[in-house]
Parts: sequence; C-alpha cells; structure tokens
Amino acid sequence: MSNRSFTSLFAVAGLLAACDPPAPPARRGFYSWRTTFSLSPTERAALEQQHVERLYLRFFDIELVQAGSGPAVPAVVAPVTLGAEPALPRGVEIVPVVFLKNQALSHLGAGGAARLAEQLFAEVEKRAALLGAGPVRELQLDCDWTASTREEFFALARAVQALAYKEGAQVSATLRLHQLKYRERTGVPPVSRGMVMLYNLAPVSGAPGARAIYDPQIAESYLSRMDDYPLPLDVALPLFAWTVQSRGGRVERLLDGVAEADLAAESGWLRRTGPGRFIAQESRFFQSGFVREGDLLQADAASPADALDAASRAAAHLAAARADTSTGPRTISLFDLSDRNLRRHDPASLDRLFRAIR
Amino acid sequence: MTQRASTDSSARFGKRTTESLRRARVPGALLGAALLVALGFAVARPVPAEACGWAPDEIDDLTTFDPHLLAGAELPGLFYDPFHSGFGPGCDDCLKKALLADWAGDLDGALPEGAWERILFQATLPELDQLIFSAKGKRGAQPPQWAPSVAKLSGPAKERVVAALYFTGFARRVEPMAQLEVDATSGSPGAAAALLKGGDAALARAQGDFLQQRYAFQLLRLRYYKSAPEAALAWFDAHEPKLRGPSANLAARAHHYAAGAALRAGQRPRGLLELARVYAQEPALAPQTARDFTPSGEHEWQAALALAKGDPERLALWTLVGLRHDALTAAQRSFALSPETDRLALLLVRELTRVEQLGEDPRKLEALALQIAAAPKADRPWVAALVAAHGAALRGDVPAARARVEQARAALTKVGPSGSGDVAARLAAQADATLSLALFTDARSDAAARDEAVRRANPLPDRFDRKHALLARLKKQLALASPPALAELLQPTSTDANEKELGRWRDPAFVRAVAAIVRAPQSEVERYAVQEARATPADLDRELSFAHLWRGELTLSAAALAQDAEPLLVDPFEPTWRDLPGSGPGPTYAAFGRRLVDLEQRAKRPDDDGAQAAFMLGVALYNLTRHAPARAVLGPTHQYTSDARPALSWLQRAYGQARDKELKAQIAFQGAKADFEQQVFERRGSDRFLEGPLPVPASWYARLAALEGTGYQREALAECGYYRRWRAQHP
Repeated sequence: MSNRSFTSLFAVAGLLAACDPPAPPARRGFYSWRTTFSLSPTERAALEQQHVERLYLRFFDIELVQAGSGPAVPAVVAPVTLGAEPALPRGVEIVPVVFLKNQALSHLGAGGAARLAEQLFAEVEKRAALLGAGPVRELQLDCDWTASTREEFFALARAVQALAYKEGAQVSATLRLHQLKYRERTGVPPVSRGMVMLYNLAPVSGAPGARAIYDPQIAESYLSRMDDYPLPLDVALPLFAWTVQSRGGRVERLLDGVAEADLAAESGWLRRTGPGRFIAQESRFFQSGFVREGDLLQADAASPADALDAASRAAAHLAAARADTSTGPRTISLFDLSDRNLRRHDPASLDRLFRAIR
Repeated sequence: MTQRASTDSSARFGKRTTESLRRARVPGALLGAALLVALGFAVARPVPAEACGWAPDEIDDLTTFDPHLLAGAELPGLFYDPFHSGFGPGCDDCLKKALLADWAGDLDGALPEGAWERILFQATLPELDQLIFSAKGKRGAQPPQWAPSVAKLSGPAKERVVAALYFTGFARRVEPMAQLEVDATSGSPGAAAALLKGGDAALARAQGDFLQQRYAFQLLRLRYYKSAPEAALAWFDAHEPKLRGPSANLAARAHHYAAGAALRAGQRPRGLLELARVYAQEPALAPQTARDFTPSGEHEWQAALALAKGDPERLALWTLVGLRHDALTAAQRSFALSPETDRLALLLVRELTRVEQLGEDPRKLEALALQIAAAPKADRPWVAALVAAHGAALRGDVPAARARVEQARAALTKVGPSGSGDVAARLAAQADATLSLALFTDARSDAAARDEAVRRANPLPDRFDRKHALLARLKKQLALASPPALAELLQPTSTDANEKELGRWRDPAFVRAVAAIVRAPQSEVERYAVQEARATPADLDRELSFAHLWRGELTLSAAALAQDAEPLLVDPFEPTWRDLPGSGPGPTYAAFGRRLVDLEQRAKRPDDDGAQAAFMLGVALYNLTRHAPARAVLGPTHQYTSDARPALSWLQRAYGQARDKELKAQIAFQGAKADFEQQVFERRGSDRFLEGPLPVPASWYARLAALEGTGYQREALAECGYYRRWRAQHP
C-alpha cells in the first residue's frame, strides 16, 4: 500500500473518529432513600471503593396535607434529617431528589405550580445547606405522573427548571418504564435529563414466585422505546429486596429490604412452604409491623444476576440512543445504598454493573 | 369529604341519588398537632391515600356497620379508615383551648379572658415587659391599650398575674428554639444554655404546682430540642413528679416528649411505653401516639410490655397495637388482661370494619365478640353482641344474626336509663341494618326474607352513617335474585349505555313487564324498586312506543302514545340540511303517533304521494337516531340508537316508489345521511366517536349525482361540502 493510501486511510479513520467519539464512562451513583441520612462504615466503604461520584438523596416528599379543617394543600412531608454519620466521602456530589405524589399535583389550581416550585426549591436549598451539600448542580423530580396529571407535573417541572436555571442547576426527572413506552400518552417531561428506573416492573403480589422488582421479559418489552427517547437518559438499576406479606390472597404489607435469608433466619415462627415463601405460625411483631398467624410471606429480590441483566439490556438500547453529553455524561445509579443490599451485592458485582453501561 | 357520583346517577330510574343520604364525615378532635410537629415526627396526613382523577373509595361507602354506635366515647378519627393516612383530621384549636382552660383555673378571673388570651398567644416580649412593669406599679409604666386592667391589679391577683407574665416571657423565649434542626431562627447553643440556666432558676423559685409544672414542661421541651435525647429523658425522669400535675393535658404532652427522647436515644421499648402512657392519660392524643407506635420487632415489643407497670399500662400498649397494627389480636390480648376494659369496643368495631371492607372471614371476630358480650361487667356488651351479629350477617347467617341482635337489645335494656336515648336509637338503626344485611346476603333467602330486608333497610334514618352503603348493596343483591324487569328497576341501565346493554329495552315484552311492576307493585321489594327508580307509567308508555317504533310496529307504537299529550321538543318529520339542534316545538306525542300510522297507510300507495309518505317516515326515523336532530324526542328513555336501518328501509322504499325527480333527489340525500350514520354504527359496532377516515355513503351519492338536473341536487352540491368533495372525485 502506498503512502498516499495510508494517508487517506488515516484521514478517513480520523473523520470517523471525529463523528463518533467513544462515549465517556458513565458516572457512578447510588440512591439513598431514608428519612434520616447517615452512612454506615460499609456504605461509606462502598462509595469509596466504587468511586461513586453522585448520591441521589431523597430530600423530602410533596404530598397533599390537610392542616386542621382547611383545604388540603401540597406540603413538604418526611424531610430527610441528619443522622449520626452524615459526612460523605470526598468527591461525592449530592443530587437532591424530591418525590411528588400525583395527588398533590391534582390540586394545584391556577398559579399553583409556580407557588409549589418556589416552596420546593426553597426547601431543597435549605436542606442542602443543612446537609452541607454545597451548591446544587442537579435536582431530580420523582413522580409517577400519568396522562391525567402530566400537565400539572410538567408545569411544575418547568417552574422548577426556571428557578434552577437561575442558580446554575439543571433538573432531571425519573422515568418509569410505562412513561418511557407510552410517551405519546404520558408525554416527555420538560427537564434536562431522564433517569430510567429499571425496576418495580410488575404489580406487587403475594402469589408464589411473584417477581415484581425485576423480570427480564417485562423489562425487554419496555426498553425498545429507550432508543429514540428525546432526552439524555441515565439509568437506575435495582439492588434491593422486599417481602410481600399477604393474608387471604391480599397484600397486607411490603417489608422493605427483607430478603429470603432474613425470613429463613426466623425459623422459630416462620415455616418455609416454597421458594422464598413462608407461613407465619404465630402472631408477632416483625420488621416494624405485625404479622398474624397464617399470614404468608413471599420474598422478592433483585439478585446480582438480575441487576446485571438489567444493565446489559439497557446498555444495548442506550447504544442506539443519541449520545447527548451536553448536560453531562450519563449516570448509572444503583437503588439503593444500604448495608442489606451491599451484603447481597459484593464489590465485584457492583463494579460489573457500573462498567456495563457507558 | 370527597364528592362521589352515585352509582346510579346517570340512570333514568335513579334521579334521586342516595348521595344526599350520606353524612358529612365528622371531624375528629385531635389534640396536639403543634406538639407533634415540634417533636419532629411525621406530619399528620389524613388525606386520601390515592386519587387519580376519579373519586376515591371511602370506607363509609364500603361497610355497613356504623362506628358512631360507640356513642362518642371514642374519637371518630380512631375508626378504621384505610383510605386516609393517619388518624383523622387534626383539631385546630384543641391545644389552645386546653391551655386557656388551665390558665383560667390558675388566674381565677384576675384578668378578663380576652386580655389573657392575647397575652398568652400574641404579646411580644417588649409588651410582656411593659405588662410586668405596669402590673408591679413601676413609675411611668403603662400597660398596652388592650390590657388596661393589668395596672389596676392588687393583692394575690397581682402576684398571680405577674408570675404568669414572667412565665409567658420565658415560654416565648423557648419557642424559637423548639426545633430539632438548626437554622437562623433557632438560636445559638450559648443562648439555649443561658435560657436553660434561667429557666432552672425560675423553676426553683416558682410558687405552686401549677407554675412549677409549666416551667418544668418548658424546660423539658428546651432540653428535648437542645440537649442529647438521653439527657432530656433523664431530666424528665428526675422531674416527673413536677410534670405530673395539676394539668393532665400538660402531663400527657410531657410524656410525649419523653417518648420522643427515648426513641431518639435508642431506648425504643421505653419510647413505646411512653407513647402508651400519653394515650392512657390523654386519649385525645391517641392519633399521634398510634401513628408513631411501631415496635421494630417482637423482642422490642416484649421489652415494652415488660416495662409496663400494671395492667392499665399493658392495656394502653395493646390498644395502640390495635389502632396501629392488628385490632383482633389486640382485642384478644386485652380481653385476656381485663374482660371489662372499655378499650375493647373500639377494637372490635375497627376489626369488623376492616373484615367487611376486605371481605375476610369474620368468624374469629364473632367468637371473640360473643365472649366479650357474655363477660360479667363487660363494657358496652351490646356493642360486642352487635359486632357478633354483624359478622353473622356478613356470612348470611340469619338465625345467628337475629339471636345476637336480640342479645344486644337485652344488654342495652339491662343498663337502664343510660341505655336509652341516642344509644338506643343508634342500636335500633344498626340492628335493622344488620338484620337486613343478613337477610339479603343469605343465599337461601326467599321472597318474604327479601321483603323483610327492604322493610328494615329502607326506613333507616339518614343519620345512620352507612345507609348509602347498605342500600347500594341491598339493591345489588336483590337485583341478582330478581327477574329481569324487577332487576332493571333495582339496578337501572344508564340511558347512555351502549347498544348491547340497552338491547333488553328494545324488547316490548320486557318494557311491558317493567311497566306492569311500576303500575301495580306486588311486594315490598317491588314497591321499593319503583320508589327508587321513580319510574312512572307514562315513562314506560313512551319506552314501549319507541321500542315498537324501532321494530317497525308503527300501529303499536302509536297506541302506546295515544294518551300522551306532551308536545314534542322538535318535529321529527322536519328534513334539515345539517343536524341543527331542533327546529322548534312540534306536535304532541299522541299526534306524532297518529301521524306515523297515517303515513304508513299513505305509503302503501304506489305513486309519488306514497313515496312522499315513506320518505317522511324515513326522515322521522333517521331524525330520531342518536346523532340526529330530533333525538331529544326520545327524552329520558332507553331507546337511543345509532341503528339507521329502520330509516333506510323506508327511504329505499320511497326512492323506489318516487317518480318525481326532485322528490327522488331529496330522498337520495336523506338516504345518504342515514347511510352515513349506519356505516359509522356498523364500523364501530357501538356508539364510539369516529376514528380514522369518515365513511362515504357512495351508493346514495351516486343516486343523487344521477339526478344532476334537479334543483335539489344543485342545492346539495352548494350546501354540503362532503358531497361536493365526493362529487369532485367522481365526475
């Protein structure tokens, strides 16, 4: 091959590289969804070992609250408070997350979105100051909005975005898979980025073997709509477990964080009846609630294999999606940071998850 | 209260909705919202759990046992209600009232009530200083204009007021620091320490139990917010004798701070017990304590029980378990501890409401309720007996329900005078409701039983909180056990229903069966059905007439309208270019019927006059279809349809008969309209709005186009854009 040919080849290769640069590595994140924020040594170590850059911290909920005999109004509920060990490792940025109940949106009325946005933003800034979180660079709105509440949610998101913009921050929104798939009906939120939640895929059920947290087939049926979603997307992957307590075929309670091993450890009063399934042989308190004799407990969890499956599927579709880094590189965030979840997902599994998506 | 459409509000025979029967939810009197927030616990959230555009479920729509039978001994906010988080709405002014009542006792009229209220809640620190100086008679000191009497005090009254003013100043300084979080308004640690020091000194100086309790309470608050929780708890323990009285309300609130401190300090069993003590001392604070009462596990719960001093505290603990977690278990354990405790009734009623709402088997609850009802010295045994009766009713066990209702009546009678009046009236209403429920739930119930069910439920007073739910369920059950015509009156089909659902109303035999019941109801159930449906014989005549009309039975249709002298809202025989809403009052219904018969006769003539008559019938039948201009003639009947085949049949006949080209053109255009309606109807299968490309009545347009020379065709071309576009595409 002549020099000229080599030169041409390099030129073409250079052009191709210029058109399609490799995606930067995704930022690593965790969610923290507790009302008192504190880090255990295990949690702190996980943040450090995994080089986590962002902690999506639930700051508070917005719910409809009835104060006395007056009309119910949207209000801040269950704000996060500081626990014993709230200091973060260096380099971890806090992303405040505000959970909005649909019901609070349905009563906004004229001008309500702007008022609520101001209230919300002021509370975020106050909480961020109390937590010593530094300037807020991104604020995330978490709302399972539907076709019937989208206008209210979008109006609120626009108003929050306007306030955030003045402070040099951007606004992101969580995206449930139904919002991703049926975007023509539910709309695309007017925010800078979307965080696709790859969990809670099916209705909670106490049926034997029910899998509501993650199911590969259900996930795949939704993910094709990732390819051309008109917002830059981040991805939230599940680490968590829960147990469904049911009575007479009806769900009685969800025991957050309780996995099969936790149930198996209660052999004195729980009898195993199937995979992840136990029956209560006496009435007693368990995991901050009451279990009645005869109640059924069905464990469900996102295993390391499930989480990796979710990551791999998301990666395949994100590769086809537009690579928009104008609002920052993609973030892969794991839900959620807790000792229990870290016991079931070892450091190597977590690292594989973070590396699976760019 | 959320407004909720009645289940039959859109039905013809249900205009008097039972919505009006429903009582407004009685607000619960909950104390201490301010305290709750101050403690840093979650905000009370008595709001519907879900609402996504439709009216959410309400517990009083779904259950049939009225908890107000408890006769006001328990707060309505503590009744079972899974659709509202928390325990009922807060009480705006309960705390304020309690404070004022306490102070009224201490000041004993030394100051006018209004002036002291203003001092206690509004006076600023400079104003309080001004008041103290003027009360003490300091030279030149003047009280604020709104409290001139302060300057005229003397003797013991003056001393009491001055001491009260000093305390108010201290409490006012504590207030901004009463928050767990640090911000600009909460003061520096140094300021808190100084205030604590001053407060401790004031407590030591304070004369009398009243002021000592109040200083101690404020100092506890301050320590709760500004000290380690362990220190606050230790201080509470050391000063508990001072905090105990004389104000019971303040004593309970002090225990609430102790509970918060213990929970924050990780002494959770102690925290749980303190919550129970709050409830034991001041049941009005139950909503807050119940919500916060969450043992993390059995070990912690057993430790709390072990800490309890005596059965009253254990009962309070179990009651909170019942309110927050499991009323049946709590009632079982409470009964074992103390069969005569007054906490059982609320727990039984909560569990009954839950069991009914969720459709669970009530037999365990019934067994316990019967045990309680039979216990000597049982508290309100009639409640327990009625709960057992209602459980039996839910299972359709009529004999057991009857026996237990009688047991409840007898238990109330034994009580004597206190068993009369409001309680007796409520028991009587619930007894009737329970027996009605048993009778119509019993799968083997016969006509006599169903009549009795109606006799018991229908006259229930409106104040019976679950009347709406009971009647709704009664109608549903009776409808299931009734022949179609009676079932229709009990559960009317909406006039807006789709063609399939309205199908039975197209059958004249069915309409006649309904009419027969309306004209001469034979049983209690039939009389009730007619009363609820509010159907009149005239309504049914009109239904019958149009049912015949759609079947082409014009003579029978006219006969059903023979006595109907009401004018039509519009004239169905009026052809229009477009579907304008009406063309003015028409003839009477009877005249409309007669004209149908007349036109049918004329249409038999094989000439243009016959064609004209057939055309008019086609016009009328088209105009009466669901989207055509004379649909209002159908009024509140179930005869709405988009089926234009009856109209098309007459129009086909008219077109075939007509010789006059102008008439043929008119018929063709009318045929196109009817054909369009019919195609839409057939394509969609029902009455859904149009989707996709509009259908084209091509065969009728072709006939119209063939009559090109007629004035009517030209007019159609000028007036009807849809035809014009078709014509342009089919030159």
